[in-house]
Amino acid sequence: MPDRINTLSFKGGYRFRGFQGASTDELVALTLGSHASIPLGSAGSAVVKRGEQIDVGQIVGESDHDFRRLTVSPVSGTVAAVSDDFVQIDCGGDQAWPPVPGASAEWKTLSTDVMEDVLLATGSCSVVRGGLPTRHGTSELAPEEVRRVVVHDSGSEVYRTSVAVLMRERDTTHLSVGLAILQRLFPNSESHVVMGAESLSALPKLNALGDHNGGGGPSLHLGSPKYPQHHESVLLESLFGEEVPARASAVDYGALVMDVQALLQIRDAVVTGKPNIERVIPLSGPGFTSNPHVQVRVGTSVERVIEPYINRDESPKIVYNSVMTGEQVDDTSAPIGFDCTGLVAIPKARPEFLPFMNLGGKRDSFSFTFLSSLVRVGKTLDDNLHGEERACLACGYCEQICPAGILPFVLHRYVQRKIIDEKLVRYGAFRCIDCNLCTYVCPSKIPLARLIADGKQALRDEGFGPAPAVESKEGAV
Amino acid sequence: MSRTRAIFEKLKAVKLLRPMLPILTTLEGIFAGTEAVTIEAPHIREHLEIKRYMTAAIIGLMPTLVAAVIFFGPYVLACVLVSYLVGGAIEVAFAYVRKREIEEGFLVTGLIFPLTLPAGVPLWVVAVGVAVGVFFGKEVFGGTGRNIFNPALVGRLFITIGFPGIMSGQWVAPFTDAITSATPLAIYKSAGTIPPYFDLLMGQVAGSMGELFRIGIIAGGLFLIVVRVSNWRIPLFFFAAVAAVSAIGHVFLPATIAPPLFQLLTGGLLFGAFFMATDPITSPATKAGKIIFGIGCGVVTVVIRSFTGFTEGVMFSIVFMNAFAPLIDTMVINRRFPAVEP
Repeated sequence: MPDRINTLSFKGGYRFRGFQGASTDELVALTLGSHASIPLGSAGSAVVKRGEQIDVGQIVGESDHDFRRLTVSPVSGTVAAVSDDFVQIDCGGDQAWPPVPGASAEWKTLSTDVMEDVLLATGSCSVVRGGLPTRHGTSELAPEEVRRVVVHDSGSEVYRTSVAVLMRERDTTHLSVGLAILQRLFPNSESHVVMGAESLSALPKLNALGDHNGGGGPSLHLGSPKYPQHHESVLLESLFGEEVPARASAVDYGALVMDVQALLQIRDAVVTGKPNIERVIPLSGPGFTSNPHVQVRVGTSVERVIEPYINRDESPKIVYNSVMTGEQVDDTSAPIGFDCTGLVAIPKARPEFLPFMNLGGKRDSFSFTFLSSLVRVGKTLDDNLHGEERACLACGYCEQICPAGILPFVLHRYVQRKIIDEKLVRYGAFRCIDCNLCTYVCPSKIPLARLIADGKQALRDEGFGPAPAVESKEGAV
Repeated sequence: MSRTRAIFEKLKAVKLLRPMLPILTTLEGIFAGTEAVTIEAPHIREHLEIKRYMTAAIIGLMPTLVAAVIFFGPYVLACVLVSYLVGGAIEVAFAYVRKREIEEGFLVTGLIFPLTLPAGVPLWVVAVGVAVGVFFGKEVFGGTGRNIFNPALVGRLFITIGFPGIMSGQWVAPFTDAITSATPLAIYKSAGTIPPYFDLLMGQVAGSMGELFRIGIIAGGLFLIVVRVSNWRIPLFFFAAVAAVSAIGHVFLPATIAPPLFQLLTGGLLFGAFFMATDPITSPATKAGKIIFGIGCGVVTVVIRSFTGFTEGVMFSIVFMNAFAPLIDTMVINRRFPAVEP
């Protein structure tokens, strides 16, 4: 690895490694089911009616809440039902996507106006959290206000999407073209690419991205393997320092943060006219019989995606996106959204005798009281708490691991005792980034992150502190 | 469901055993673990729990305990047994009254307490000490996690002050039956002589059962630091403060203040610093607080050893500093998170 790469770091955090059920580099293209349910995202509304014929890439929903956003249909067929949140489609007809007019392989000849039109019409403006700025009002930021474009590989998650899989049958130039398009759209910006060691070794050509460093080309950074390196505020702070107050949003940094898949969609939209219709998602966790990546149209049900792989004997819990921050999927008829970054199947723990005496060669722990501290492979993963809830010992693990530099064990006591006042603000409740590491690591099994989140909500109810940030919801990643 | 859990489920269903539910739940937790699962993010939890945390602390104490048994014979085990039985009975009684599970912290307290006693101590004194320590040192505050003072030290302090004759005249050196009142610290105070450092390290002097085999204490203490069960800050700054204060003091008052290396290798300093001052519940939780706490313990130890009627000051210094731990934490936190102007 060339030593010119800037290595990122931050205080706290935790490196998850060696868990069973990491996704393999196998890529399976999933065929469509008979129905699709297209999420309209927060405050989106449908622009189609029941019974209408829909083509792939046709606009089915729009939203003007906060910023303008169009939702395109990932499938063709007949609208079966329309609700506030979804457009249900009975799939039928040709499922190939027609290129959106205006896109061109000769993208360099396109004007920025045409590029913006194509990005809007392909539904690609919502691949960036907070929206991709265009003259159409698709983001809080105006295009000229964008000072930084940051692309990352989510490399610090417990389970992650393989960049090697995303780049299969592609050329590394797809990334540089994507970055060059963003450079055209946001002439005042500089580009930063943050990759984990795994991604860099899978894509040796990536190093060439950084070659133009200083000459206006992107800067390549080696991301810390510690979670939550890819969390927006941690990422921006480790890249640009604390130039803005703690817990700042990307807007404060004038930054657009996106993952590799979003960058590739932007490139595909402008160069080939491909609408934003599909996701490549890893199926991770020991609750699947195998762990491929699946290429799937948005709107396909979770059930259809997991059906061939789920280990029914284990009746695992299915989690959407991240095991650390994602939601449990209770209803597997729910669709894969535009924001889906993976599905995880977490099996139940096996019963055992005297579990606290186990040598623990396959158990993950922040402490070094298990043999796994010496051998870091094949760690088990289940949804058990691994212990009873106890009073806080003030062991200090949550302080050591907290990437936001706050004291979860202090904050949780205030919330437990219902002391909701400026002390809670002063001790940094609003600096919490909801990464959930404190809860993960607590040996007393106290749901610290939940208590802090409750505390933040209670503070807001009492009129303290900032308004909640725009929550990441379907279609508004 | 495992067979173990099935047995406990059956026992818990027996009406006659209803009042014993907290105790049964505790036993079930020990033998079969928990069945509780995550209900929201994070959907996974790490594997360390309090039982294992305390077990690690006990492993750290093993070299000391084994050495004590070799030095003083099976009587040591009798003391430990009495401590566990009497202290455990109080724990069970409180669990019964509070209808809560038994907390694991006692496993460590019950072992540390007898190790702080001289080998000639009668068993009834062990019983009284551990009872006072667990009752007044911990349970009256609300149990593990809520106590201000280290329970083992509360018990030890009580019997030191309550039974001065027994506690100051029952010292035994390993492999001898002769009861003496002269620990190395007392000998230094009266005669100004220092035993060979090798004897101090190997524990071949008079002293409490657990404080003698210092190589084992150091090994156990370092083990706990390496596995992240105890924090390095308190012992390091405890030792540093003792060394610094005694080095300076010895220059000016050589007859009163013993030299630093002797201070470090004698009495209960190593045992106290590694196993009692590091108790996370009764020491400050913040990093800076731990440093202040360690320094405070060190200074107070040398002052008590040198300028009071007591020959040893480790126990007093830790209990003394325990009282300040919440205050230290509050000061550190307020400094780290300054009040914002409205």
